[in-house]
Amino acid sequence: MIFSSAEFFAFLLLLLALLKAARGENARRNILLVASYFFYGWWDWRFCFLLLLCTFVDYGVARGIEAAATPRGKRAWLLVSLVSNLGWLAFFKYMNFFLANLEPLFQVAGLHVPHLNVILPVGISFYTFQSISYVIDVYRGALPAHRNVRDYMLFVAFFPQLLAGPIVRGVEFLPQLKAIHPLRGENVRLGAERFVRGFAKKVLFADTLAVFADPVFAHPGAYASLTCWLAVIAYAGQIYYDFSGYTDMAIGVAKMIGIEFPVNFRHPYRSLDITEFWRRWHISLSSWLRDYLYIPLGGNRRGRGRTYVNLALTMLLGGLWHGASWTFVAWGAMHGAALAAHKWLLERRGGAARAPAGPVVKFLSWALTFVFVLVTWVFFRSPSFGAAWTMLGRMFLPAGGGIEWVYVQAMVVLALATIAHAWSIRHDDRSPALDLRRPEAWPVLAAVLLLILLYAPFGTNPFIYFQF
Amino acid sequence: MALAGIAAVLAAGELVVRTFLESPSVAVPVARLEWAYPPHVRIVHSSEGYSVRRTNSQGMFDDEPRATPPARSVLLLGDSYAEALQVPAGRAFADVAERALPGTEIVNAGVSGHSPLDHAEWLETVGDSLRPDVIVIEFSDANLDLMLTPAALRRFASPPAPGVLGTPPAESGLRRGLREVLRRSALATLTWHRLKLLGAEQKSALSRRFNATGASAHARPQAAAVVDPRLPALLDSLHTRIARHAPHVIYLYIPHLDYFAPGQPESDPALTRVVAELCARRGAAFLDAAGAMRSEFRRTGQPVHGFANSVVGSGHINAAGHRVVGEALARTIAEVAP
Repeated sequence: MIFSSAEFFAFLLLLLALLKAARGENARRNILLVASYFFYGWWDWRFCFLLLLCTFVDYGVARGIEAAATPRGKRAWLLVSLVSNLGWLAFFKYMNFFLANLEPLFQVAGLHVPHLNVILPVGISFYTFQSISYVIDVYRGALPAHRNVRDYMLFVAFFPQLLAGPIVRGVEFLPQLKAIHPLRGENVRLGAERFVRGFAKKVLFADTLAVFADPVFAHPGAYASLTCWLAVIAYAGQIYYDFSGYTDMAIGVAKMIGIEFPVNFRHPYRSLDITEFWRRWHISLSSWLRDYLYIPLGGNRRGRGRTYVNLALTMLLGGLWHGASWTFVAWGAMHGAALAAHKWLLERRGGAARAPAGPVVKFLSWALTFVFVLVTWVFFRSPSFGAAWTMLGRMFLPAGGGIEWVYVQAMVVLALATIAHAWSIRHDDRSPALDLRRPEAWPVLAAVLLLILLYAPFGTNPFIYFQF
Repeated sequence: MALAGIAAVLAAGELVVRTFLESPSVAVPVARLEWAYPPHVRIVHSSEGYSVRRTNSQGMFDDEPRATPPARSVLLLGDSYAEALQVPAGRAFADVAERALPGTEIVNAGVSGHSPLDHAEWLETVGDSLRPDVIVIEFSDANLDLMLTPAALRRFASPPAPGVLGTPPAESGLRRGLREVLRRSALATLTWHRLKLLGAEQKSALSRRFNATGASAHARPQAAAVVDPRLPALLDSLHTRIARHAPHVIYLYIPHLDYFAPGQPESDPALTRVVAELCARRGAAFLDAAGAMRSEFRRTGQPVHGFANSVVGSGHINAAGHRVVGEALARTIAEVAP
């Protein structure tokens, strides 16, 4: 059940009606828990068992950590959680990848390498990371272990963020569960405004750009250089609007219910350097990687060289988190190297780096950052290194020939996206927002819905980040 | 104020859609043929390619019939490829072929969604008034399958009396009301088409969800190894009905090409074999446009299917495709009826 499908709208309306009719907070929590498992089971009911298992293990581990008398005992409990969560990830997501890469070694030893026929449970990367952060927070003493198993189950399974984030931490979410208030008109309005924004981003922007990007990435060698450039830019727009659209819808649905989610995107393509990009892109993941990977690795506390290594390693693993493929690892490694290089450059320039830059320098910084991000998206999107090199070859070494295709609808969307990013620069990073209390917002809403009805490419296009 | 604003948005939407994007649903129901265009209506087409066209006095997307009889008259019967709403007026392959053959008039009676069965029934109604020297039957990958639906097979079993298409079936008040709204509002027409599409998508998605299948009923596997065994006999009987109206018949096949899989057959071999055998048996000509289209792609590197507002390499043929098909058709007409 994806947020932009008719069945989700039916599900959401029914859920809101039930929440409205429910008497008492316990009833509302029960409804939310059942609805969350129904939502998840809609994909494949068998996934629910894994979700339950992860939930109960970490619930027990957190209680164990709190009860442990010694640091060693706490560490042992923490290890149980890490082995459990990372073990599930390794088995479901990476096992075939590992086996395929170890195949030459197995062959030397005369062993047959099996290919496991496992289905990747949707959302596993998100809920395992969310669960790990909870256990580590309890281990660090930042959060008490939750006593109420039903509420903890709801924290892990809460449907708006279950499949593709944002990765919500226990310290952000669990305190809000103490008071699931009856539906409030104000929350429903604000949530609906956010949901409509996300819905438009997904079906008008992301899905339109996909119509252009997908065929070109499928056969990059067949297209002309300009078409390849435009398709890569279209993919950059697609993944941003797909993921930030999903996030807006998740934030909107949670808001309707009365739960606040953290911001996950802040116009990343206006970034002037790669460090700024990662402060604006998938913020809940980048902050998770910082707090639960980079800092435990030593962060910047163990000297310059080690800092650069930690940065690169964190991003490399962040790349692998996205999928079991070397192209994702390469994507992460490139970002890690760029972050390390940028940090080195800043440290080398010292105070000069903090001096305000002129418009030309700003533009060049922006262009360099944007082109770098585009190049990394080529590895992220391509099914293999061969396809990625073909695409990059077409982009940077145009040999002439190839199919010349400029998809008009995608160009309109890219123009609107450019305007939206430029608007955010002049308006403190804000996006244009609907305020349905104002009468003039309703015609705008009607126009947006009309555009969606008339121009959104139909078809159930799953969100890109569901596959991670 | 909010309501007035919404009304203003809808009015502006109607104006923009009507002027630039989609005409109201002006087609009228016709028994057996489902629908046809009335004379002298303006049609804007923008879902694939772009054109603003006007039907002639016979409800066809063509010039008015010539006042003086041409040296050679050709009647083109076909589907949306022949109708050619995706390209501007004068760029359809019928126009290209007509320009290449001085003294020849090609009457383009192509209607989107029509199959050779529809052509035969239409001919039996109006064909005697046309008396062409050549009839061209254009078909593509999907529309021969349209003759195998239960409704089409019933039509085969009970052909119409000559000159009579019958009256369209009676409609309920609700359906008549809906048709009236669609006839008046371009926005309603476009919305209706989109809702139908959305409903089909949703049905397909739910079907996939619960049945683990959901392949489109219209999808024809490319290069299928076999065709339906009933097809040769059906085509044979249709040919008999069509060939009564002209001394020469040409079957024109416009295939989809796979531009990204070198080595694939250029057209559906089973389908073309059936039609080629029919032509050999009955003395008709067969033009498979795949070769000419593939040559054009090799020469220019640009697909002859697809447009700037659709996926390149898929869907209908573009202006280059119409040019190539038109030139090939002109050569075939000249050979068949010198």
